[in-house]
Amino acid sequence: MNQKPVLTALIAAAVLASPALAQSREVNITTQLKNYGGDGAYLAVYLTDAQGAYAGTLWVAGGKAKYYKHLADWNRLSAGDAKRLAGVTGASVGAGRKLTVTADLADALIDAGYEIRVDAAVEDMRDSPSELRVPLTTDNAGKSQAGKAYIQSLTYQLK
Amino acid sequence: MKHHHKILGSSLLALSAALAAAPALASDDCEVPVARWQSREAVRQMAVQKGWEVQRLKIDDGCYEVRGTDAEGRGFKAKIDPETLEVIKLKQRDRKADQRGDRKRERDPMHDPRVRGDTASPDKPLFTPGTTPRGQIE
Repeated sequence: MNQKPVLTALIAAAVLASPALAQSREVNITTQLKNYGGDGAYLAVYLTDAQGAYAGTLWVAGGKAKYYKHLADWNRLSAGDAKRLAGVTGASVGAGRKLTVTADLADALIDAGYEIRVDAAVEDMRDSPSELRVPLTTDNAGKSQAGKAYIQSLTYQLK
Repeated sequence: MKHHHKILGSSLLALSAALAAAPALASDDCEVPVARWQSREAVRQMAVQKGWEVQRLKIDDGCYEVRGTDAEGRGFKAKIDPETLEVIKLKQRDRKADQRGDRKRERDPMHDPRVRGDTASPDKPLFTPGTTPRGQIE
């Protein structure tokens, strides 16, 4: 007898929760580095909007802030974002290693002209700002893209 | 074998002669006897003709040295031959300071028109609130 109100409440909760679920998508970005034969790479994975303006930082690999200027495009574009490093830094990525970044992105960003960009820098080697740029679209998901200097392939999955 | 030594010897001699001559060529000193010097007034007139504004005129290393601003308003320091009033060396005095300023401006994001204004709008959340991206190296 008492089950009916509980069931209604459950349905109501599910209905209310579902739009919230639909608003975000998990994105999995896998970056495989080449065996370039150098120290660990500093990488900045970030998003730019349809106008090319900085939208946000997904991940920064490499712990020393003094080297961030070598991730030149990211450093310049994100300079106005005081929280660009909030919880999104980790160790630098060794040659031949793989970095996987997972983020719950707002659904509105997908197929809306946004781009995933990666800047790369390696000590004593050439900086590679905008090493790689991939439009954030459902079509591009699962497709492998190569970088200019250090990234062998970048693939992202939308869930 | 002996012949080779001779060639080596003469080329070494030529090299050392060239090296010895180099500092003499690089010198900015003026070696003009005082009798042939032109007056300070002549230097000032020359400066006016060039559009310079002289702040200081002195003698250094046997040359006239002028500090001032040129026709474009840039500060400079010039060495002038006291006999011919020819400019031997011209140094833009505040060039280094200018470069430092440029670099500072480059570093300062507020001087970058692309950055100013529309950066990282916190009102438009990129990620689901309460979540942050996670990175893992394999």
